[in-house]
Amino acid sequence: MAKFRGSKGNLTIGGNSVANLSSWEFEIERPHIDGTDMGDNGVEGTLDIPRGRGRARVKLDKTDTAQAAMLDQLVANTDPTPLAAVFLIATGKSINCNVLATRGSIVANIGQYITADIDLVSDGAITMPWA
Amino acid sequence: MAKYRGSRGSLSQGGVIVGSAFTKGTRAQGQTSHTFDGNGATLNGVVRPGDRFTVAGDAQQYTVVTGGVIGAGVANEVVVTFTPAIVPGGGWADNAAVTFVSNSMSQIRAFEVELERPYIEGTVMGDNGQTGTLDIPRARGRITALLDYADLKQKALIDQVKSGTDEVALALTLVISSGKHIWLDAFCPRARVNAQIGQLIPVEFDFQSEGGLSTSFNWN
Repeated sequence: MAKFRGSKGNLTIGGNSVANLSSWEFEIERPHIDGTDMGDNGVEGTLDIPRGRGRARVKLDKTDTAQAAMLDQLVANTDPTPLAAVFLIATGKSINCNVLATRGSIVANIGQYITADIDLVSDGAITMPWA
Repeated sequence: MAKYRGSRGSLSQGGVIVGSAFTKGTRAQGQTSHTFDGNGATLNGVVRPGDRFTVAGDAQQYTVVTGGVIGAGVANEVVVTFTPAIVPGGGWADNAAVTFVSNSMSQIRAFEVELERPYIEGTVMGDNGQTGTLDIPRARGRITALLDYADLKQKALIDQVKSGTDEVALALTLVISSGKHIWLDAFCPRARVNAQIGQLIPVEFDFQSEGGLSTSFNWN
């Protein structure tokens, strides 16, 4: 079975590759709806619609189009347009969805590059092509 | 793509000017606004209310009432309103040097700022995935410095915390690199001082944004 190195990964936002990307993470969740009845001999239920949340960690550079798209969404007060996101594991293998940027944490410390952690939530369907 | 070392950063309680500013055209006594430019050279940064400056040939120090991002309208220019009105009888000459008082806060060790737009879920029956929108933006952060109450910029933050009066938001400019700033108005609700044997005494200031953030990134 294949294994995939993080260093080969990528993230695109709005069709543009995120520059200075240190890491990404994405959590997919389908909340459990409990349907257990009296007399059942174990918990039973079903799953609700999927939702995802992700995080991109970058070395901050707002000159980058993809970083700027996420940061601009965070500081605006306009109704946001979801951004197309592709969390790339390897060629042909990714997690795809639209996202909204909900939080950006920018940190400057002596001895380090200035970093930004940007939190994302999914908007609409999540797909996982795996060629 | 560029990367920015934390050690090159800085923080100002007020605006930041990158380059040399000059008066654009003459301006008569009694006026309270004028345009500053780079006199043919690059000028950028942010001019904030409360910034102080002098103009060559005029001994009066002026305080900015309104300013803005330099170059937001015309490249390398900013229109500034100020108080008091221009004092000298002959007004200001064209291309007179404008010197802004530095707003840099001393002994900064680190800063962080968190931008947030709370998520409002709008998922309805029939959707095939979660949907929603984002609420108004807000920011909070922390500044870490070596304590020095003699530094007027540190003093302004500490005084806001220990005062019992209604406060006016302070202008903060987080400098990533020359010409690259994150600026906002903020309140300082908390300052934490920690003294330990064997260490210099640090102070941590928490800040909370006040008002809009739509132009907070100045990235030249």
